[in-house]
Amino acid sequence: MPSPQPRILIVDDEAAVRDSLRRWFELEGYAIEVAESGAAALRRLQQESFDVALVDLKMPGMDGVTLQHRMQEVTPDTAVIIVTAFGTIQSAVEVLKHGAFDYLTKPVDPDELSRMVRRALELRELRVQNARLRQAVDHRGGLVIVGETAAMRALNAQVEEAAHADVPVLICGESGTGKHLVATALHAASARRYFSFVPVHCGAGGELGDDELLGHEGGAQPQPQLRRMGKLQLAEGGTLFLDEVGQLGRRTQSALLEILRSGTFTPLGGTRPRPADFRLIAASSVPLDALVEQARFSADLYYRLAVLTLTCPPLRERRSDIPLLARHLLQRRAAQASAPFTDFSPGALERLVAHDWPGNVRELANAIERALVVGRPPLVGAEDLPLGPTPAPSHASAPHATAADDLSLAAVEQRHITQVLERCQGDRSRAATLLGITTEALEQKLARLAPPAARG
Amino acid sequence: MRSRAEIERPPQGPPQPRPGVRLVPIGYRQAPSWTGELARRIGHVLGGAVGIETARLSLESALDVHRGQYNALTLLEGLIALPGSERLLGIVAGDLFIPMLTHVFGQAQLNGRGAILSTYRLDNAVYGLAPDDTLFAARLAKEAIHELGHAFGLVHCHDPDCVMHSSMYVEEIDLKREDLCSDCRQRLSGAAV
Repeated sequence: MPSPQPRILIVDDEAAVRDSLRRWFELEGYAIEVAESGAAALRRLQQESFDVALVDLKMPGMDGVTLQHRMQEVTPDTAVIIVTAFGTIQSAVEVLKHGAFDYLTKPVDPDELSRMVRRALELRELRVQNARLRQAVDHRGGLVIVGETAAMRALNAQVEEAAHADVPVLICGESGTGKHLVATALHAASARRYFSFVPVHCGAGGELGDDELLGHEGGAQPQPQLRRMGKLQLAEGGTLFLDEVGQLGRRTQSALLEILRSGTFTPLGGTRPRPADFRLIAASSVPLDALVEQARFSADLYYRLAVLTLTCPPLRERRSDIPLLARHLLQRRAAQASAPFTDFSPGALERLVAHDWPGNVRELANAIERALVVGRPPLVGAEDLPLGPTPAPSHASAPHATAADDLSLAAVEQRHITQVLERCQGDRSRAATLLGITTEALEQKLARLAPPAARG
Repeated sequence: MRSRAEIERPPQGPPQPRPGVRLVPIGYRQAPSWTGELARRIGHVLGGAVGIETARLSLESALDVHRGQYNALTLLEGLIALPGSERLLGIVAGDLFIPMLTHVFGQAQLNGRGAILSTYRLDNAVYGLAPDDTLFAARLAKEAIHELGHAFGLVHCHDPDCVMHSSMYVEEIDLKREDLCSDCRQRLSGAAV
């Protein structure tokens, strides 16, 4: 789409100057209007908008400085170029301080005039684009987490409140309950939304490398190293999101604690500390207070992270949200995949609601995605949702009635491990996280506790 | 965006007949030797008849003694007072200015009757370089077509090869072609005459 013709207002009390500049700019293809005084210019500006105004500094009545001040109130987006003669540069500098785009001294080199007007138009275009982008970001700030149960309404309200408080937030909840989405919503509704949201998953190795967290200033010691921005620098002004913070190693916990204490950090190879200007949001699927009790997580760091705590409820505790959430996910995925699915069959909905969803919303989303591949539009049927038998609720701590006879510690442990493994659909890494032990420790326990029949 | 091939293709057939153009040398005792060749080159690109005015116009009223330059707008006013209906291109040897600007190569009435052009900054001698008549004639033709293009309603073109591209320095005149791009040619054909 061709951009509209740029509009320029020329304000000068000399008719010859107005006329010559009008002719000059018309040849460039601009739309030109002229005004012989500051008052006439303001009258024009009340009727229509201009991209650029060329304003003579010395005019009888309202001078260029006063006009520029008034224009800031009437039409702040118009880029004002002040035109002055030699000897009045001090005044021109004064108007620059009050927001004029630039100034020119008479007589003007034609090349300089053309370039300055082009730059002013580019600046105006950037401002318009910026406003559009801000509007888009503001719109995303209205991000809500789907759910109409009391728990979800409360969570949405907490997100809205917490977003405006520039303090650390800890988000708790089982895996797949939407902690990352909550963190994104917090950032998008906060005053830091125009800066970066930097997610860091702490689960991979437990420890974050210093250069990954702090960055590197570059240099030659001990080996040539390129400058690298760390996560803290990337999050400057914005939000640092530490996902699965409970898996953070002790060394990184200490480093992070020190940064939060001092409010500064020093990149590797650097000599001067930088301000740690970011909001910290952390999430954990394992109760962090339990890890503190087990001395596996720094109590100091825990209290610094948990200034505000939000909890994402598991899907099985908000079953009445499942149809709403499932339809929301179906619509989104179907639109992305251009698949003509419109709804679920009654049987499919029944099945969705009955399932316990140990993997929570993530599992639900995956099930729907699979159904779109294997199902026949327009309805997703129950047969398109091959959900396994609903495992026993893992949150039920009572042992199985059939095994109640054996109350030995080993038997109880075995039953508990089995339940957790079922809930995690056999994912030993996730089960280990829920059990609060390492995967290796779980493997050892499974090997030790396995019943003779299982040993073959 | 136009492809390079499209830009570089030869002029598209004989131009449509246009209202005539009259060249008006101003301040010369007799028509300079290059006027005939200039008329031919203008006619080749813009079409229509190109004549040469014999009436003499005065430069004196346009001279700004402080600046040592001629006011292009004053000259334009005198030029368009000449009788007739052709587009008029005044050509002067002195340097031109318009109020506010240090200098101009030329000035024109957009979609109007008159245009004015200075040969002063087209001459290598101004830049301390060896005279080059061929280069001078090419610059003169390009700027004459450019100013007349404005008089026929064309504004500055973004295509750097097009003769209607704005030139702030003489080197930029040398870079563009002595022809209209396809877009400007189309606009010229559709322009009210």
